[in-house]
Amino acid sequence: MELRVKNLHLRRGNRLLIKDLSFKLRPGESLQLSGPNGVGKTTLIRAIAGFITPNKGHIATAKVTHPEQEQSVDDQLLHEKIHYIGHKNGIRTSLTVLENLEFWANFYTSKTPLGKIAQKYSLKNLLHIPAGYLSQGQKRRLGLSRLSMSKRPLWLLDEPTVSLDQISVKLIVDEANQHLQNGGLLIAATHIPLEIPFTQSIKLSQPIDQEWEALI
Amino acid sequence: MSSPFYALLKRDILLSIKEGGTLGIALGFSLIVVTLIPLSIGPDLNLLNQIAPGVLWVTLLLSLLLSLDRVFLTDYEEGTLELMLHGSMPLEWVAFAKALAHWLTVGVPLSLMTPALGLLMNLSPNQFGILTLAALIGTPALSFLGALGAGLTLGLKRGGLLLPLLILPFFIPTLMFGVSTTTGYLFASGNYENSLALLAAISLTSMVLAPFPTAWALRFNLN
Repeated sequence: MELRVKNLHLRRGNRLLIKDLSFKLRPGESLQLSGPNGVGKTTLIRAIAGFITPNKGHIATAKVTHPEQEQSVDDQLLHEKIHYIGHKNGIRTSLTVLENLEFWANFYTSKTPLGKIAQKYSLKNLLHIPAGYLSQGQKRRLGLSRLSMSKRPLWLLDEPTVSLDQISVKLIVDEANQHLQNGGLLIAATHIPLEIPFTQSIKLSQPIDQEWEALI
Repeated sequence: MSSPFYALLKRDILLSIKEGGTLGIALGFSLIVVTLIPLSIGPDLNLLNQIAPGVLWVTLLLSLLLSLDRVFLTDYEEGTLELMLHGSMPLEWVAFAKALAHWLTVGVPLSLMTPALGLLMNLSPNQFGILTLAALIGTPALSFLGALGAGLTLGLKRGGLLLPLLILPFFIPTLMFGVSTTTGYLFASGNYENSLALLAAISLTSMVLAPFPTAWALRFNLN
């Protein structure tokens, strides 16, 4: 799968955060988003995830099996190709770790045994504890465990390593590298350097406040 | 299709058992409201009997309304709702499953409690059956239309207050035919089948149509 972002404009409130951004991401390629707080890294990731409608430009995917006759996959199917890790972990705090895992596994119709996932993300001893009692790092690991539940070509990671210890950071880096080796796509917004060989990098800068009206 | 759907339905039912609050409040609220009626209008048993269907249906509507703002709110806040957009199941089915779970966990228990409330309104035990039946058939419309209201008010800070204003008008048809079913059976010599059929029609129509605008509202609020 190939991801194409063309002339993308994203506005939040009256601030134009992303102006005329274009890039292509091919299988095995990864993109690092950087820049100070509030420049639109999360907005960009959420737009690609399909939560935010672009104000201008478009986001599309294409199959790469026949490079000459590339077909645009319609946007309705994009959502099944994405793993999104955002600021919120997407876990229900009143359910136990196991119940959370079971729900996502069934929701994604995952075939991977839960024991294996729990082992990998060091959740094995926590299975019967309500997720609300977990530490921030443990909650993060539980959220990240979705990455191993179903194979999806595009990973969108928004500050994936927040509140993780070094061992868990290494786990995520290894998972991401494995994903890239298998021909996956990765977009990560991060402040700390990760040991992922990013093939592209976009440094976002402070948004423009006024010019918006003239653009449309 | 079936597996993610049942996973979500099962999870929502489990959550309502574990979190417990919404059903308890709905049941407690309806009990208190119906207890207040005899206390306020005095011990006129005939009068109580006359107004029983109306009082019980209004109470049912209001107590169900109390629990509606929770349908999507916690999933929205904890970030699970946006992830459901990335499932293999369309968001319309997510909306359907969550509304159905609401009906099973709030609508059904409230309907099953109507005989106890009927007792407070001087109804006789042989009238309880129709009361519960009408409530069971009418409440799906309330859950599915209510979920639409919950989806629309999701992003708002005090959405819980706007929700009743927005959605109560849409409850009126259910209220009318619910009451006419019950009064028809109790006082008009058993002439209630037409109302009951219309009540069922409203519920079925809501179940089929409401998930579409609900999913639209959810997408809009995630933006």
